[in-house]
Amino acid sequence: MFESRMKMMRRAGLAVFAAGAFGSWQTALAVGTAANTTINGQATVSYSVGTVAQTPIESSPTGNSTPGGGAPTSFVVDHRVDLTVSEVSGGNTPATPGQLNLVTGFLVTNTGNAAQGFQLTPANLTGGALFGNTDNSDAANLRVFVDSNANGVYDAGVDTATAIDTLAADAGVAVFIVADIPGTAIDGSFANVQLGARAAVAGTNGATLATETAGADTPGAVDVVFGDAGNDATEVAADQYAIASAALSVRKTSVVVEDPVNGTTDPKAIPGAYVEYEVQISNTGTASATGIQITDPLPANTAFRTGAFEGGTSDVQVTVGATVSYCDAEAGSDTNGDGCYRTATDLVVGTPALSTVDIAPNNVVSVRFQITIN
Amino acid sequence: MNAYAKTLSVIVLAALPAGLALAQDAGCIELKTTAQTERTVIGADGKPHTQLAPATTVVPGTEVIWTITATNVCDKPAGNVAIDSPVPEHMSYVADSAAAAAVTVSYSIDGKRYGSPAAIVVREADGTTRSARADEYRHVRYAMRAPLAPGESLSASHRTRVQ
Repeated sequence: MFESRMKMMRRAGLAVFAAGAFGSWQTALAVGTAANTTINGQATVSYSVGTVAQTPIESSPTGNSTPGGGAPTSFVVDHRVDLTVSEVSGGNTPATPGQLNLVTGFLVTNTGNAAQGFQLTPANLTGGALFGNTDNSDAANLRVFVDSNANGVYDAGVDTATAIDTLAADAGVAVFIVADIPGTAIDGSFANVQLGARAAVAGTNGATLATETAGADTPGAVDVVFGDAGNDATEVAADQYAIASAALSVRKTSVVVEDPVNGTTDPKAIPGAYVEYEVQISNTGTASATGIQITDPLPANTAFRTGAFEGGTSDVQVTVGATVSYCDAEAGSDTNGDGCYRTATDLVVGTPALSTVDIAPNNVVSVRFQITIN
Repeated sequence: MNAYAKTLSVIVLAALPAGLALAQDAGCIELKTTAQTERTVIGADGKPHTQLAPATTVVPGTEVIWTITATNVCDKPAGNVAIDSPVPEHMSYVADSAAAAAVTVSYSIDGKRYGSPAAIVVREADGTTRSARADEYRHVRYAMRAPLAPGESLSASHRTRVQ
């Protein structure tokens, strides 16, 4: 390989370069020369005395005049501790109040020139903006886990390590913050969290923090130098939980639809008249509300009117957006499983007739039923 | 080919037979190489000063200053004095860092063909050519324009950076 490269260089005159060699140098630059590498420098001088060329002389650290002799001037590459921590997704993690074990992902990369361990610390941030959103909430029960199986996804029970034992130079590993969102978190709030990584001695599972060689340099030994921003062997990155919740409002209206005297023309609220109630639920939050159930006490001196809809076959009309459906409000319990029934005092409308109140476009649900005035 | 390369190739070729003939004699030039790094210290005046110290704390990215001193230890002038300093493995030459008085500085990638920066061309994989970057030089050569008189020294220095 090297031989053929040299031939190519000769053919090319001064245009001496091989793509293969260049590629490998770039790799070397990315990782940095490994700690404890000895670097040797040695110059050679050629000269002549009178008209006679002399044997070239090699240099030494203290000076050499013996032809061909000499010794390299050497030093050992020290251990530069360096790391980066970055947020992976480039966006926030959607969350709802009370949600457990929500994951944010980070990448910790060893940009130093020797294997390194890392201690990992999750934290809630206070204030400050990320992704254009200001932190105004906190996540709870913050935990940190290393992506032990290197699949880029948090696997509960599998990714259990809470520190990086050893990370080779130039290698990276995913780290997850796993947190719970308090049930009291409000819609539209943001909880910013931060992952801190602190360099530790490789193989100590993050327990023994790396220390910089103090005081004077130790010639010939591998010293530890903190080369990261801030020279503290610590880097951080932030991520965000965006808390979305449903915000429901309920409105109830009534209208007299028919009376025994006027029929359906300008009906009045006289005994025997039918009054239609509409219960309207609107979701102005940023997440769907599920498991919705309406319990509406039936007014005194009235009787629930069965068969008010669909030509006398249905008791309750449910409208979700543009979709209209009906159910039967059996007395006692929901024997047909359509979600509607009534007790002696209440009308109950729930799953499946009504289960979800979405955000737009179907963010308004109305339930209609009728009573008869006694 | 340019003037540098012509001159230098003469030196290289002439040195080979002479080396065989004179191997038993003591040389006329003492050659010394030192490696140093800069460090900033706060002086007595309270201001930062840059000092040179032996290269001991060296990490990737550190610039190392190589100083090569050639001293004529004979009683006759030394002519055609040319110092070749290879850029050590794991290091890259720092552009425009070579400094010495009364010498012609040239560079090489392969250690065979030397030239001024403009004359060193790299051929890319796709066949196009471009001027070599300084960090691609693997040799720095200092050629004295005048003979080195007995007892005199030539001191040349340049920087390389740990990859």
